[in-house]
Amino acid sequence: MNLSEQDILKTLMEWRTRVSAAAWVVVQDAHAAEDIFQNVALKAMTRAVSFETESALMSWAFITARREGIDWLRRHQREATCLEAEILELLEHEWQSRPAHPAGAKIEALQDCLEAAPETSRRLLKLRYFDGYSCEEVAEQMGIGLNAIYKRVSRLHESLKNCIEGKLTNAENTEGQVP
Amino acid sequence: MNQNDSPHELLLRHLDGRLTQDERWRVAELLRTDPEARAFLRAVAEQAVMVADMERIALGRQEEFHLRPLRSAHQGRKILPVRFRSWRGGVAAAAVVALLAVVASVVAFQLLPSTKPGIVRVSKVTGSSQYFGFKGRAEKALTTGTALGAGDTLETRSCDAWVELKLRDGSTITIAGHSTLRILDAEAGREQFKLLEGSLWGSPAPGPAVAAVLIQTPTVAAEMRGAQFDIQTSSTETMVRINEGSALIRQNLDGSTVEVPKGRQLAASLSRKESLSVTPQPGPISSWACDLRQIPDVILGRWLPPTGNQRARLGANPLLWRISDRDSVMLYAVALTAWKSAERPVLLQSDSKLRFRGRTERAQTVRFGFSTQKMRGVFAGKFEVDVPPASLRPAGETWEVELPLRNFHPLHPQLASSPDGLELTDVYALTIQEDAGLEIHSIELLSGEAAKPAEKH
Repeated sequence: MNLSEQDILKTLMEWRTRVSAAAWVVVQDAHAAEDIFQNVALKAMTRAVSFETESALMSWAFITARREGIDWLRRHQREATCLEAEILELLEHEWQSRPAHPAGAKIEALQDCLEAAPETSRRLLKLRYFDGYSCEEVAEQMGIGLNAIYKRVSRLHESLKNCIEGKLTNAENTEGQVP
Repeated sequence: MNQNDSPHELLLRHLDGRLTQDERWRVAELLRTDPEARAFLRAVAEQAVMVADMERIALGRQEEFHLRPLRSAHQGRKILPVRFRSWRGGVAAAAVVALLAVVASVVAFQLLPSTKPGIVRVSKVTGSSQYFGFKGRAEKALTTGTALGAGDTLETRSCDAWVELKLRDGSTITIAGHSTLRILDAEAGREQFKLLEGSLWGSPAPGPAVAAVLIQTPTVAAEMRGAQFDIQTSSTETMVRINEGSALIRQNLDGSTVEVPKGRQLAASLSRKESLSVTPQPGPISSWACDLRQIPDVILGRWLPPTGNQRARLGANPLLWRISDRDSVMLYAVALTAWKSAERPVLLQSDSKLRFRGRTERAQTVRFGFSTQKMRGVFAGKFEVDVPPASLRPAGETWEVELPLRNFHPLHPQLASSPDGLELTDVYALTIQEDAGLEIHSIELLSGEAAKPAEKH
């Protein structure tokens, strides 16, 4: 029994953050990663092949996102920054082998975590990932040394990772409780 | 680089593109061996795309992103909104778009012309094919001499099928297996066709200049001016190659047009954001590898769940092959195009071999085949060979089979008796009548020099 169009869309939306993130690892540009996810969704809905299971669809989606990402790098002559295929496959495999949370839950958790973080942390992330500045350019704009920026970004990602995981775990535990 | 950098900082420097070659190797080694480093990189990537999502909302840029495809001819078409508040919202939004597409196709169908002037005649036909009349009724299988008119739709269903149509001015159009062609109303003296999917070759009538023919695909509209050409299309991508004459091509995405002269080609895609560009047809290659992990363009097949050592598995799909009005045979087939997996034409040579890797769940003869066209020319037929189960590994085990091209027999020897010097267009593998659980993992064409001296099973 093949997945219906509705099933394909629902699954892709559940995995949206991970597929976009896999594309981001290749292109390191959040807007390009978003475009790539859109293209993957377009192809999944219009191609003649079918998907027997969610895992087959997701395997295809990750590989297609990677391929689109490499095409994007070629067009922008930035192939040198790309990680080896073996490493990209490892990352995709790990993304695929962990249970997915609804895309909305993760982004809401990040939003909550960022609200509790200092304003400078939010600005730093915006400059780096939305505006697309390098850490060196971010350091100049914020008047901080480059090494200090790397340390701060590193700590920020680590604390956000822990915060998001904590909130998602709490949410799961709460859902399981009898009111 | 600072020697006190933690692995996380090293990864951030890598993402900044600030590493030397030695440091890049260190990053590669770190990511290969340290699951914690990979977990950090995955977290950074997820946070980066989510931060961008949140900023789009916060800065009120959602509308701008929705409008972007309309404002710039070079931007791609979006089928999903940029950011959804939850997956339910996203599914709903995408479902609306999908529904609109269905409604549009229904409206388009209802607007099909109500008259049916006969404008083409079937001049040659092989394999399983069918046509649907302009009122949507399934007609009998195609036979030589059948007259077709506006609104009729042809489908070549089996891997070995092809149909040649003769136009009133003597020009010919050929479609190969797994292609769907709709005949449209002639406009301003030009015959019009819509190739919905598959491969089409066109040749002008010999003699002085003939009337233009318009070929539409989901991606482009191509006005052929005395051209000998071939078009390969899927629902999202089209490749046009002009071997004689010229063509004026309009991209459906943004309406831009470009002239394609003899010896040039053009690729267009719904997901490509650049404007149309015409390039010289590249020289051929004599070896080719179709790694399924690179997601080639699949004509027929279904993706199977990955296993521990096999991430890309393409399973055979059932295909009803109508032999006559009463008899039919069930095929279970996998078919792939070569035109999108290779950036250059794939040249077949007498000493080349095709290597297939795959498995069957039950012991059964597997038929391997491929389609060809003349290099920079027209459709040149199909070639097949049967491999008995004894020549494959036991059922359930992965096999690899190398098949010299000289072992393949021509299905249409009147077109070409040997594949030597022809271009590979698509490759297929199938079992007949019984579903043997056939799956294919990779396909390669080995040139004479690259092929191994002994056949391997």
